Amino acid sequence: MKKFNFMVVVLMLVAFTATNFAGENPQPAAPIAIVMKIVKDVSFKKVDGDWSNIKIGQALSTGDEIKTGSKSLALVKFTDNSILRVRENCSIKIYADKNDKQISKNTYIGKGGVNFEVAKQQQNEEFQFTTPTMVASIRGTKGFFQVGDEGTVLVLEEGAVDYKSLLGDQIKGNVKGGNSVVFTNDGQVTVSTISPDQQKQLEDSKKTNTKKIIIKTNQGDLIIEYLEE
Amino acid sequence: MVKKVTFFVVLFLLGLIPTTFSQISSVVSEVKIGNAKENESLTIEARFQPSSSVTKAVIGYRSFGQNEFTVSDMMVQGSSAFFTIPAAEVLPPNIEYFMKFSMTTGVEETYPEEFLKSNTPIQIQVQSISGKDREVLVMSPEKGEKILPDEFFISISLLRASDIVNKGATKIYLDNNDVTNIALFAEDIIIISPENFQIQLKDGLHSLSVELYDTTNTLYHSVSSQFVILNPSYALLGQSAINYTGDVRFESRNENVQTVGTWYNNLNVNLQADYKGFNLQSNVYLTSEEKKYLQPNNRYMVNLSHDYGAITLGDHYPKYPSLVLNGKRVRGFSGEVNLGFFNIQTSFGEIYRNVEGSIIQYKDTLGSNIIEVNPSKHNGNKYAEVNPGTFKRSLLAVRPSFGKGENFQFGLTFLHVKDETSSIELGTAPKENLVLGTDLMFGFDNQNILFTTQAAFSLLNNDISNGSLSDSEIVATFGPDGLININPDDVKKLRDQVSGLFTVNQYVTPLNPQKLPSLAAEAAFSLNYFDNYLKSSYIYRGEQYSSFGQSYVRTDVAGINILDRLRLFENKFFVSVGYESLQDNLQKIKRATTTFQTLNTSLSFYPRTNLPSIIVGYTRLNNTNGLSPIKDPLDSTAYLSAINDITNRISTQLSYNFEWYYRHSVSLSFVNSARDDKSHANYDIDNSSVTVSSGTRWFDNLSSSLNISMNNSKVDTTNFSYVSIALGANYSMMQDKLLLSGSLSPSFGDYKRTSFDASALYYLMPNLTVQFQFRYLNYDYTSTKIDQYTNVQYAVKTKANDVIMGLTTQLYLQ
Repeated sequence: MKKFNFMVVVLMLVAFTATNFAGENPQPAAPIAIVMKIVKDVSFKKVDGDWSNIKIGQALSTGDEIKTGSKSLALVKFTDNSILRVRENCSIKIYADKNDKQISKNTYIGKGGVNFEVAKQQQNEEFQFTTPTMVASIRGTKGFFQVGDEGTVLVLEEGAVDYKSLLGDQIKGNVKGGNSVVFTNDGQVTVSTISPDQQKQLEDSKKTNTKKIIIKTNQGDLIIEYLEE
Repeated sequence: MVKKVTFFVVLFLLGLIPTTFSQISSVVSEVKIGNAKENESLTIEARFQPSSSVTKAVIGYRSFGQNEFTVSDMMVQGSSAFFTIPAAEVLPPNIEYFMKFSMTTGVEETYPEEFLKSNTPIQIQVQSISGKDREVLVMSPEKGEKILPDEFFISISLLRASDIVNKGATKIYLDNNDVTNIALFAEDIIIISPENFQIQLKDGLHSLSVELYDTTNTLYHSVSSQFVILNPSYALLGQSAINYTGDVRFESRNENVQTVGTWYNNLNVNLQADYKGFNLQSNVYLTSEEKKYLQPNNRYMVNLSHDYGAITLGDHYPKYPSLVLNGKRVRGFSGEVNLGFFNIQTSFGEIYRNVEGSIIQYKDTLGSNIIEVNPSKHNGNKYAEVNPGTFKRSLLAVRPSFGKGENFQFGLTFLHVKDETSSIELGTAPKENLVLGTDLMFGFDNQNILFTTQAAFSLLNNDISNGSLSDSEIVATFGPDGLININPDDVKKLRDQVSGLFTVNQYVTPLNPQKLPSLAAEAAFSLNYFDNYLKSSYIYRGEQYSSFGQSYVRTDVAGINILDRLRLFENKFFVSVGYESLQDNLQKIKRATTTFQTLNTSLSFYPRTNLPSIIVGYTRLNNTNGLSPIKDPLDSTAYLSAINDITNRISTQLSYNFEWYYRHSVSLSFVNSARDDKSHANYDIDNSSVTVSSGTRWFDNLSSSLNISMNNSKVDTTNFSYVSIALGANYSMMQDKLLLSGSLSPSFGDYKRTSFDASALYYLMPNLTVQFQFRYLNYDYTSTKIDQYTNVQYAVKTKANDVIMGLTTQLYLQ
């Protein structure tokens, strides 16, 4: 079943990319986002490139991937001011379709947690999130995705989101701020109000502050930076 | 580096061209107002006439379409009073304001002087956020961001920039230095990455400025922002450390006004700190103007807040539903707990402190301002004529509410304010006020659909010195044979209902609460879609409504207010229309009912091309009560009570920023207000002013401004015309360590005055400045003043040479 899910997602993303770039001459992709902050182990991969360490200020284009290690973080800001906080042990891939001053974005979350603050989208623009179990369309709101082996959890802080389960009966729906949606691997969709645990998870997912410890040695200073708990 | 930023800010402000308003006033010589821009705080400075002895100043302001004024104390410092309107309340197309001053003589005056009569405040045009501002997004560092040196880089998004912008010609300035040459341009994004950035930024405040040019290489738009570089040690401590900022400012100033020299010394300390989600703000303001015989001028405040609550100690302005408590200074405690589903807010403290009165002379009988005194303390005298003191006035407010306030909230408010009768000996008529209120809101779709309503009921006792009446006293005082023809049983019922909470005697208003003369209520419904904000509201203010927590509520009116604000063509064009129709005489106790109709319109145009922006406004106020001195010449009541006046006000403002060898900003504004009073008072007012302003940035360290204002007023039959010119310049030297500024402002015509201002600011250290200021004023004019109650005219001659010198030091902590 998991293989089938993976194939569905891959086909969908291929279709998205093919649709967006069909008929165009191959050109270096324009940057659509910037890496604003990194903590510990964060690497990225350009299309047709290899994984490498990322630096603050790295520009990201369509097809670029980011993955984070344990206790790590990447903060990504799009050119429309939308923000992603990519939490630990997470992998994402960003896609974009630019048409004049409008950019439609799709972020694929393979696994892990991503906090989002999507700026109000213009007409003919949208910000989509895709996971192995669902696709969500956002026009301006805040929340958090957690993608794991059991499925996807969407915790919506405010605004509204249109969603569609990619498995089972492919249930469509709309959810508003203050609610969460659980998409399971068998296609079930459960909407409920945000639980205290989910609220804490949501608040934790916003944290980007770090602490540093300097250990002075004869060979120089050893700096350890870690995320605030 | 801080000094460079300050200088840059000075230059930037010069580009904004502050506006000076002048009206005929025996208190205010001029009002200085910065450029009013949407969602940016706006500071108003009222400079006093030399002969004025202002002890207290308050300002009332409201944005377009608001029914009520928000009234707040102004900070009086020597010969000026200041107030900053919060950014959230600076909304296009305009803000209206008035000021009220209390003098040492006890006299109160308003600015504009005719405000109490005409209810016509002064309008300030507010410039909308330019659509161009949205075309540039500074992604990093964000406006006001506090950032570590090793996390600093610059990235700018031009995704939304207009097609006529040449993105490759964009210039970036960091602390006024051009850093464009190290920027990487990648289509919509401009990046200056850390490895390209060789300059080591010092800790503290920095500025970033971005200039966009069009395809003809003409400046299209510029945006500026500030950010703070943190000390790297902050990161070592991380969030477990206290992040704090602060500043200490000390001023010593001598004012030589009409040969009388006075020293003013002020110390102002601000401190802000945050720790693990807790935010601390504190302020201490100590001034030599603190006098025991006046209300306090010193200020102390500590506020500790968190997402779930806050506590405040000292001088603060608690905010409750606007009908009950808002804008009133309380010295005491406020606390709130916000759980979302349930919240509670409470405040207690004093709003006036006790100031003892003084005896003028002893008397044998009671009379006006003659009170009973204790013979054992006053050599056997029983009565004395006094300058009455001020009782200590204590306040208690509680508001439980349900709901977060995002989609729903329901609240109940209790307010009790009482003069402490034992706080002074020589006082008259201590008062008590009780207000019960309720409020409700529903919001949908991020409050794009919003319904709000509130209602409040008040009881006021104008003299509680003798306490509540007994049953027998009520029977003797009320009834057909008593002093007041009200059923004694109703009064007993009222007394028993509020027993322990409120003093009931013959001085209570209303004594007939069941007829709701002291009810105030309002309801509003708004829709915010498709760049169109539409709001309609209904207000009701009973004739006897009174809240000591709200200084200005217009009473005895009811009616509707409709506002529509439309943004068109991607914020290039704004249309605002407001209409209000109110009627008084709600309790039918006046002979005629007056209808107050106000039409407010405004058109604003902000072209994206290289053309001036234009704001045009028209306001019409029509007040009439149907009585006519002409129709009823023999009816003296109709003759004297007739109200029939129309005021038409037209305003136009053109602003243009351009480059012609140097950077220039020019603006032209024209305001005409004409009041045609057809009542017997024939109080016609005609006021016109034309102002031309320009600012030029000659070099990075030199800028200048020129302001010419022509004013012509006619109040009744008295003309008052004058022309003011203000020429100013700013210059920095010694590598921006020394900032010099000066201005010369002569006025001609009926208002002859020359002022010269000079200032030198020197950076002893990057975060420590010392500033010397000098002001010379020469007055020689005669103005005609009209008593607002009797309409009697009298001349006020003012002739003086005044000198003001001050030394200020300021220390920034970070």
